[in-house]
Amino acid sequence: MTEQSGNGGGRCRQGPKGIDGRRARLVAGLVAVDLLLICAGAVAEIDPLVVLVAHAGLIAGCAWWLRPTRAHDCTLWTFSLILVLIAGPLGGAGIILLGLATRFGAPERDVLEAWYDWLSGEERPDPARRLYEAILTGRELKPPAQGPRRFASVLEHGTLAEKQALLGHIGLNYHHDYFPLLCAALRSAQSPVRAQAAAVFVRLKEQFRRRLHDDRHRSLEARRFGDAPAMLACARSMLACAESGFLRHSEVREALAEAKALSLICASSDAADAEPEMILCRIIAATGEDDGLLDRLLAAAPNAGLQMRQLLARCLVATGRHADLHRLLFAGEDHVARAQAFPALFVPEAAR
Amino acid sequence: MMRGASIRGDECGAGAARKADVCLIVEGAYPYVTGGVSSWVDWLMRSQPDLSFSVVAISPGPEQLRPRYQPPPNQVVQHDLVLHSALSRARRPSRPERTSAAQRLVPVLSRFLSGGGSAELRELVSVVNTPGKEMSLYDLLESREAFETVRGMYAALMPQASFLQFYWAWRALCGGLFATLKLELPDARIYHASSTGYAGLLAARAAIETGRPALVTEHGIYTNERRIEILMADWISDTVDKGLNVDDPRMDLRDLWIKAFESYARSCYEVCSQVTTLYRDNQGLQVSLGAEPDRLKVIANGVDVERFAALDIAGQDERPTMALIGRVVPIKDIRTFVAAAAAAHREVPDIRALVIGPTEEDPAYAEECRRLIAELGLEDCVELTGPVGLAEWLPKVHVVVLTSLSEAQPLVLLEAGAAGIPCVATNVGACREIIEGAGDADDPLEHGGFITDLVSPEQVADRVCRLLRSSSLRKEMGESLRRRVRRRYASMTAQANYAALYGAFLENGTARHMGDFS
Repeated sequence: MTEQSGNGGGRCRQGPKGIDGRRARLVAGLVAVDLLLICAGAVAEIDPLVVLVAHAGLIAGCAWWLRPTRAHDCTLWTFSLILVLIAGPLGGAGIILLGLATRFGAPERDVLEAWYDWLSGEERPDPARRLYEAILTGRELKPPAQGPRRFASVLEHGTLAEKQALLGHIGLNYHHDYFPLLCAALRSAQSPVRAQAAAVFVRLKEQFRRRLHDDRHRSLEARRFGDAPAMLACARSMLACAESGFLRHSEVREALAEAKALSLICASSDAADAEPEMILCRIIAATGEDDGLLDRLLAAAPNAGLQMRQLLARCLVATGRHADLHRLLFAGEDHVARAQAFPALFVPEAAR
Repeated sequence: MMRGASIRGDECGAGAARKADVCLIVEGAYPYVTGGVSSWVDWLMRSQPDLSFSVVAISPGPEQLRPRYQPPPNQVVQHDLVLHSALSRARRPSRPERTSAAQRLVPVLSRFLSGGGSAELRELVSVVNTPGKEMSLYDLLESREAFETVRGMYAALMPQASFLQFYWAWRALCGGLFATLKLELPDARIYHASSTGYAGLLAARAAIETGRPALVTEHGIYTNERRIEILMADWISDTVDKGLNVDDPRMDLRDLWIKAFESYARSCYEVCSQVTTLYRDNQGLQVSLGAEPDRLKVIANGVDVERFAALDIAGQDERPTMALIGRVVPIKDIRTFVAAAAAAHREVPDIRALVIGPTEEDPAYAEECRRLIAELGLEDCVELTGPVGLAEWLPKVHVVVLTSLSEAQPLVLLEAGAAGIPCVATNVGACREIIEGAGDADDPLEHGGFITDLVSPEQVADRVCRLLRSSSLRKEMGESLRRRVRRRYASMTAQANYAALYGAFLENGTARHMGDFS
């Protein structure tokens, strides 16, 4: 049987290959003793139960003695045990052959070592060298001097191939900020761009409609079983559908109402998770309608993080509560830091 | 069906080896799929009764398909080309000549698939089909040497990508390519493809191997349609993380697919003696993909003008009616039509909006449209008629509307125009050219209706209301459209154009550029 060594990180490394000579002799001895025991049972009319117990004891003793000590990989050991239990001496003989085959047929140790080290990340070079190698092999690209171009600029001034690549990206990785771009592409002067924008539009529209339909079913299930994480996931997804730009007004209203109801349930069940409140803020910011919920959310604002405060500020803008907005941004000692977040709050997302 | 070709001569009552005047090469259409291209193929053969035709029907998989068209008497034989089939289990030993051919294949195939044209196709054909040293599909796709070809191309084209993904993409891509290159060519005097892609590739190969003329007639631009499909496909894995950078020059699998189809198109355009299309707007794309401008020609599809001209025009006393004639499917964007009807209903309260066409192709979408109609309270205004006789309904329609997201050359606009009905259509395909004219000496600008943006119900409603309110505008635009249809889109004109096209090349018989055949 094999001797294994591990590094405690889930990585298995084969030490001496296959089965070593000492263990091979031991297994061969086991096979011989077991064979003798069975023959003796057959000839000397020993009680079969005694033979069976002795056979099992012999195997159990050997299995214990040959057990892998520090290894995580018990494959060969387990396999041997099963084979011997099932097939007795024949299984033992088989495992000797298997072990020898593994010993002489396995890759060289140093080859495996290098491979395991690479896989585990243990022997990897420092990040700079790794990046350099990745750039050399083309898996990473040397970053251009400027970042990616603005999508609106690509759509206006890019080549046809760039415009189509952009629309392909929008189709596969849609974000509601892309909606105005998609609408602009539908009115493009170039017919291939219009055709692709139409294809993307139809596909996304159908995707969001199907997704909302599925969310409705899932939210019913989640409510029935009181599954808070599932309710939160539904709320998040419904909000994304509502914000997508592809649904009718009535569908948007319906989706937002359901997302709000689910978020309220989640907010009351887990006070530590801020996501339900964030979803509620986004709903208020999207509709501009507040039924007193915003005051509750504002009450927690002093302890809220930057993202939550930004969302609250959006809500206050959407509902026209400018005095509260001023208080949120400039009250307290850290008003300068808070005010620094101000420019980011009111720039339309599509323009960023 | 076997991979490569199978011949369906039995259905046509003719032998497989019979030579035809014209070999029509069609991908994913006639005779198994109904639609615009299939109808065109059927019409084309019937409109040229003095010529004999063979058809190569290209299909993606080996499924048995049921023909949807009865072959005309002058169709002498049909060949099936199946692009993809499962791996065979046979294993054959290596052969030295196969190894040498595989080594030659790597650079040629890499160049061809990554932006090549007819020169690379010629080289490829010479490697694959050299008389006496032909490589079989097994040699090309499944042998040990084929695997070495994949490895060589991986190293040459995209070593930065996942080999596993590259291997399967290569198999899918080259499976179709090699099946096309290994088809036993039907004997014909002219090869005429209905698109680029595999059909155009086969026509180009036929012209290269036989020296006979090849033609291509495009309805939509196949390469653009494939590009759109590939860019949005979620069955293609992105193996290189390009982030938001559309300028990233590294080739990934999507790029490989797109470049391959562009290469097929370029080869086709370069080799074909004449490149025709249904409308002028397509020609810009054809030129951008390598077609020479002086080989381009527009041959529009036509309608039976006299049949529609005999119909009455809806009178002033009839209920104001707008109609969309087409299948109730998402690509026609019926929902925008319903939304436009709602907007128009506010301006013209007694308006009637008809959707004339079958609803069973996409029942879920039809149901959704019905729900939208109910939600907007338009039950008395919008009606889904289902399939009806057009001649019976056109006399009740004041304005024909087309809200499609994609079209080539919609016949409904021509039929409405022939009947003298003005149209409001989205800016897709040939709609602008049909409604407004090409704007040249042959076809001056003369409005037969209005063009709108896509997915723009308010614009559609505004234009429809303008037409419904003014009978003189309606009449003026209807007559203008009728004149254009009669002048440019008569079925007889299209028939004569194709007769002239074939006549010129049949007379000459060699693959060369024929500038002006008419």
